[in-house]
Amino acid sequence: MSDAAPATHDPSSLPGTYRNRVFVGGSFQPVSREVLGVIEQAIRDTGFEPVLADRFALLQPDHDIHDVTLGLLHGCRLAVFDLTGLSGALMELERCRDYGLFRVLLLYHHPFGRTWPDDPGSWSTSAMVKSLVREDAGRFHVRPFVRPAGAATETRRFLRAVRSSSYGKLHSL
Amino acid sequence: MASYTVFDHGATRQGDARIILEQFRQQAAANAPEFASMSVEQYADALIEDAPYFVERELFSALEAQPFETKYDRALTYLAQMPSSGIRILTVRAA
Repeated sequence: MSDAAPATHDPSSLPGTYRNRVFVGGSFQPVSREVLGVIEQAIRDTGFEPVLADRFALLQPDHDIHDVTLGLLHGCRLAVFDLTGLSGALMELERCRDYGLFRVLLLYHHPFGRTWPDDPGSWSTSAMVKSLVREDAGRFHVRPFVRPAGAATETRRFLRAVRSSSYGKLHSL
Repeated sequence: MASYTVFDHGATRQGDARIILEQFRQQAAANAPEFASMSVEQYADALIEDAPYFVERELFSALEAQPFETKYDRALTYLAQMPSSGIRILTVRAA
């Protein structure tokens, strides 16, 4: 298990390109950060550039986290969130439409793999989030994962689908 | 062998950890094919292996240091501490 990621990137100079950066959101508490790390690696393996907020050095973290993180999100056209639990990621999720993200994958852990919305109680999140996703189903894609490796599998599948779409071909992803 | 009463999404299950885990494995297998080919022993191993990703770190460290009678008892306890499982151990009765 890894500890906190080193904050080596400058938020004023993002890696990758607008098209191939993939914002990764969720809870950055130590246990949830492990799953974000799995997603990060899957993005890299698929040839995209992961953007995780804790990889970026902040001058005054107590003041900067909100604004800089939303700035990072704005610099991406794709995103993957682990929405297993409630976290500050909900603020980012709200902004995905405003910032014109093309596709957003929302993952949640369920040990028995129950799938929302077929099983309405399987995804423990707010009705606000669920209604946002239902209303914008073309942008937001929701998938459960059972084991950590499942989060990687779903991420790779999502990005390959983006790559093979007309959008992916248009931008040579 | 300890006997458990487990809360499962509004219902309760009773039995030893191995029996309850086998029921959960079958439930998981319906949605996750990788569990269909697992034995209950392998399922318990998988839950123990995955727990550090889903159980709060300090709590996991404390649980990891506890002795359990069998790996099934450990796996069931870990599953019950995963917030997303909806499973909670209500009572444990020693053999």
